[in-house]
Amino acid sequence: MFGAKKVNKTINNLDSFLDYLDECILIYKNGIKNYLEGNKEKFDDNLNSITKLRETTTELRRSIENDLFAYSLVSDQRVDILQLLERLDKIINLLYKNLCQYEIEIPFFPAELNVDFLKLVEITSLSLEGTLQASRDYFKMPRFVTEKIHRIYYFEKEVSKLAQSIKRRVFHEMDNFKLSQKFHLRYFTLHVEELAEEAVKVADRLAIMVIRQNN
Amino acid sequence: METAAIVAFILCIAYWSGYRGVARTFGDSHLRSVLKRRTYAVALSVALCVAIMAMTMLDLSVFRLGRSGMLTLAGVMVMVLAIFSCLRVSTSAVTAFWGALLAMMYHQGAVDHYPLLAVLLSLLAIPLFSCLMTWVYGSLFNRFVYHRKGHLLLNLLFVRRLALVGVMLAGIGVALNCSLLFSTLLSGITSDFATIYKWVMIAGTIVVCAIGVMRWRPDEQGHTQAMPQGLPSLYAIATSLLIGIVVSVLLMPVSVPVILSANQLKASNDLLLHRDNPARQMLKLLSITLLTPLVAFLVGMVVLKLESDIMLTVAVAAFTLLTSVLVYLYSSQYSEHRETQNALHDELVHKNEVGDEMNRMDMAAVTSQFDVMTKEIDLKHKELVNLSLYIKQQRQYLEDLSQRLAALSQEEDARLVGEKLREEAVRLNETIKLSDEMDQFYTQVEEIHKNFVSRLQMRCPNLTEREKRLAILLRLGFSSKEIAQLMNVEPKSVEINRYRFRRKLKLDRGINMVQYLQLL
Repeated sequence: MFGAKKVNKTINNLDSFLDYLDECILIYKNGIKNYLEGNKEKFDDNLNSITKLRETTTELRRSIENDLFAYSLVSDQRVDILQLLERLDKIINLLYKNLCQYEIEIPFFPAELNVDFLKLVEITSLSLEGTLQASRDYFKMPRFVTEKIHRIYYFEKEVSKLAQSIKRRVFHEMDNFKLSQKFHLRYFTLHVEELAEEAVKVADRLAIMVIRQNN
Repeated sequence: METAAIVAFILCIAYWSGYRGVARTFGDSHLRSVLKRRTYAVALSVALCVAIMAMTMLDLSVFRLGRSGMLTLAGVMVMVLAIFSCLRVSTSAVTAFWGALLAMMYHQGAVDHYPLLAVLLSLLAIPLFSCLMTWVYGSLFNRFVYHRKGHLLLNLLFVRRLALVGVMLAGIGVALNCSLLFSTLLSGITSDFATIYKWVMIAGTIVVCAIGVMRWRPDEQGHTQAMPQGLPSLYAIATSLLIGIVVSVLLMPVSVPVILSANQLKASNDLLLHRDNPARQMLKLLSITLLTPLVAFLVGMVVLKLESDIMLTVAVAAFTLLTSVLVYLYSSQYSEHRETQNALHDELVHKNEVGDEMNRMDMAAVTSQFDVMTKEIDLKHKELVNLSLYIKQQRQYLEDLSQRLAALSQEEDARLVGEKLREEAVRLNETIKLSDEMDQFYTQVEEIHKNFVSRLQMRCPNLTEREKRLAILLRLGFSSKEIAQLMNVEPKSVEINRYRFRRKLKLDRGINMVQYLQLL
């Protein structure tokens, strides 16, 4: 009655979207691990999974946006929520593109760099998971969003430090590498950093949305 | 004729009440962001139906004004509303009614306790009560509605339902209130016209609600606050109006009914809710509560004192209405024209600023080009002067050499001639080294290519002077043989220096060093 069914449908879609984002983060983490360990088949499976998830999440996001407009739900916060969804979808796209680039460009990672690089990916995943939890809390428990946001900022700083240390190692210590190889490694490190930066942008947006909701 | 005039006045008042009263009461941007137009129209229609049923079942007024009193009252109300609308000052039909009614009672010497009680309740007590109820509802909603647990979307759906119920309750209150006003105004009609009286009352109430719905516009800008703040005010207005109806029913046997102004209630609630501009809200409230009844009282007294000719009152009221409409239309047009002029002026100023900026940028570009060309000309001039000096020096040397050779040709001792010739050869070799001129040459070339030298040093900080000169000569396109001649060394030495320089730059085998230096 009076749109309860439509609202519940939109809520279910939102929850599904966030669940798919969670899955994408896990697949990305495993994908890079499989690549560095040389498990080609598992890496291909990860790539296929994330490709399918990306298409599903794009459709889901459009469906949620249509519902918000068509049923005039949350008319005064609509813009904020749509921007949040857009940014989360952008994160999924970045995860997909990053993983694809490993398959296309086949970067060479020296063995001595594997541990650090995996650690970098792990911390970036933690920052993305923090973003996901903060987004869920915004809809259900807004008072817990702020503490999740602080964690995202912390992880992003750690990612930045680790990325710089990896790049420094590559350019200063790996003399036997060609310049092009060093650039390639830097490029892939940069792409992981971009994910953490995107997580911070979502965190900033959530902070403003929570303040507006409390006013 | 009088009945027609009364009906016309009633419809004017109904139109104004819908246009300004209902539209403003329910036109809160917070509510417009929550409810759609269709939902709002349905809610008001339901409210209207309920109110009409109540009107037909109850006899809402026993207060009898009399025919002339009715016409005077309506005429004064129309005049006051027209004047205030023309001046764009906040006003209310109900408070104008009270002012005019008090004037009439005072003129007739029929001021009594109960009518005064009704006036005090309508103008002061119930609006204060509405303010209090706004605060109470605001606290309740903050505690139990706005911050309840659950999903954000479900919370907002709940708020939307609350808003719908609030609009219906307030709509019923407004509709009953309007019908009370119209029935009081029409209370002078005799029983022969009772049917017309009921239909005019219903028509007036329908006009009020219909105009209110037509003026509803969705909040397209999107409200920035999280939850509708207008909800407590809406519920407070609904509560106050319904209490006013109940009090009227109780007071009916002895007095004029308590008729409330939704506009006034909204203005008093806004004083509590919108604290960003309290002075403006206070002025609005004072205009509705004090100024309007006062002006209506004065106008009523003037009309009643001057004439007992009813038709003159009607004519004056109609003239005032027409003049006000014309003045209002003119001022609207004028303000629109002024806004257009201002926008045009701003556009022209902006265009001029952009034009000036572009001119300034063009001038800067031309000036910088001119500066670069001037520097180049100066440099060329210096080169020319140096070259002329060099030619002069060489000429001098050649002349001296010619003299020495001429003196030598006079010598007969072959051994002495051989020694002298060897000395001349050594001297000539030293001259060919051209160390001073070469220094000058390199200085000039480094001056011209100083950006290149600094970029080269960034990539390779530990370059020697010799290597810098080699880099410049390579960049200028000299071959190894030519460089050897200029530097007065063997070509093989130049090749070795090139190889060492390449290693210092850490260039791969496939990369052409000259091209690399030219691209730097």
